[in-house]
Amino acid sequence: MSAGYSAANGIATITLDGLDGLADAWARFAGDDSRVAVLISTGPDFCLGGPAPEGAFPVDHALDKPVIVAVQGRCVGTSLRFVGQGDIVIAADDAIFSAAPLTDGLPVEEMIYQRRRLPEPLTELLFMSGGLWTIDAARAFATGWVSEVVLAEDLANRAQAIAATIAGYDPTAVQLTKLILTTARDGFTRDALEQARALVPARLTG
Amino acid sequence: MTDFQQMTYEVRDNVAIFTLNRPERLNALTSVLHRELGQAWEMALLDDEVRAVVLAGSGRAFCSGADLTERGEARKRGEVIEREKRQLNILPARIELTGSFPGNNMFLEFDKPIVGAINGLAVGAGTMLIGAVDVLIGSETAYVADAHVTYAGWPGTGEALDITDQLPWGEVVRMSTEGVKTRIPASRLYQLGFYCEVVPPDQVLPRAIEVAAMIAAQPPEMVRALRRIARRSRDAALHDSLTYGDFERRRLALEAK
Repeated sequence: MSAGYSAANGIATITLDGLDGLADAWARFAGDDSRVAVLISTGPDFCLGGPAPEGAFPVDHALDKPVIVAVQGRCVGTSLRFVGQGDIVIAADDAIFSAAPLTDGLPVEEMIYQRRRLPEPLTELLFMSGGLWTIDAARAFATGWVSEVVLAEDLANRAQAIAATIAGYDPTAVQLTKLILTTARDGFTRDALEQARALVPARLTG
Repeated sequence: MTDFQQMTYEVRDNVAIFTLNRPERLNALTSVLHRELGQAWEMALLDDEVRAVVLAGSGRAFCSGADLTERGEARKRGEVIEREKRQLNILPARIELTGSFPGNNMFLEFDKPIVGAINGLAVGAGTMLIGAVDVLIGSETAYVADAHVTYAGWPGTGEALDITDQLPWGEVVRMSTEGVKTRIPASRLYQLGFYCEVVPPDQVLPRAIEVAAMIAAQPPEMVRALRRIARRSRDAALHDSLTYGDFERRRLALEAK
C-alpha cells in the first residue's frame, strides 16, 4: 500500500494511499520533466490523516513546480497540510475538512500552513475544536480556501484540465511565478520584488 | 456570579460567560464597564476552571461603542474622565496583574480562546472589541460599523486594531473612512470568514456557548498554545511562525514529562 505515481504530457499524478510512499513520489516529481502535479485520492475519502512520515509533504521537497490538490470526502488532521501547502486546491461537493483530536499532538504545521489561505477565525476554531467543528466544501469555496467545487465524479477530470492549462505554458515562467508568489506570501513583499529582479533576467538569459 | 454593575460574569462547564449588561444604552462602554471588563479578563485568565470565554451583549445590541453621554456629562460638570479609565483593559491582549509590588506589575498574555456572541449591532469601539475575539458567532440581522470619522474621531489604539488582521484591508478602510454611511452586514462578514457561523438572533448566545464547549473539551494547554501560535503568526514570516510553533510543541513535551 503506497502512493501511486504516473507522469504524462508534463503532468505528474500522485495518487494517495494513506500517507505512505509520498517521499518517493515527490522526489520523482522534483526530478523528472513534469511541470505540474495533481495530488488526488481514490475511494470515498481524500485522507484520514495519521502520523506524518518523513518527506510526505510538498514543502519538504522545496518544489518550484505547482501542485494541484483535489479533495473528495473527508480530509482529516495531518492531511490538512496538503491543503495548506498545495497551490491550487479544488474539492468535490462532498468534501469535509476537520482537524484531528488535540490528543494526537499539537497541529503546528497543519495550522500555520493555512495562513493567507483560510481566515484566522475559521482556522482557530477548526484546530482548537480538535475535529468537533468542520468546514464543508461550500464554506471552503465561499472563503476562497478552495478555488472550485465540482461533482465528485468530475473531480479528477477537472484537476487534470487545470494541470493541462499550466503544463501548456512556458515552464520557466510557471516556475518563476510560483517562486515569486511564494516568497511574497511567506516572507515579505520587498524580498519577493528583489527575488523577481534577480531571478528573471538570470533565468531568461541562462 | 460576581457583583459587577454593568456586566455579568458567570462560569459554567469550564466556560466563562461575559455579558455586557446595559441594554438600555446598547451596551455602550463607560469607565465602569471598562474597569469591570478589565477585572473579568484577569479573573478568567487566572481561573484554571476557565478554558474558554464567551463575550456577549444583552438586549438588541452587542456594543454601540464608547458612551459619549457619560463623557459629555462629565465635561459639563467640568470633569475629565482620565484616559486610562476609558481605555483600561477592555481588550484582553495583555493583563496587568496589580499585585503586592507597586510599580513592578506583571503583564500576562491573555491566551485563552474567546468566542464572540455578536447578538446585535457592533459600532466603533464595539467593532474594535470584536477584533480581539478569536471565533465569532453572529446574528444574521446584525451589522458592524465604525462611526468615529463621522464625529471627527478615529479608531482606538494598540490591540484595538486587531481587526486589520481579520478583515481584508479594503473592507477595514471602507468601514472606518465612510463612517455612519457604511454598515457591513452579517452576510458579508460570514462570506469573508470573519464570522464562523451566522444564526438567528435568539440562537447566538446558545450557539456561542456550544462552540466554546467544543474548545473547552480539548486539552487546555494545547488550546492555549494554538492561540499563542495563531497570534504570533499574524505579522511573522512563515519561517518564524514555524520556529515558534516548534518551540511551543517542545515546551508541551517538557511539561508532560
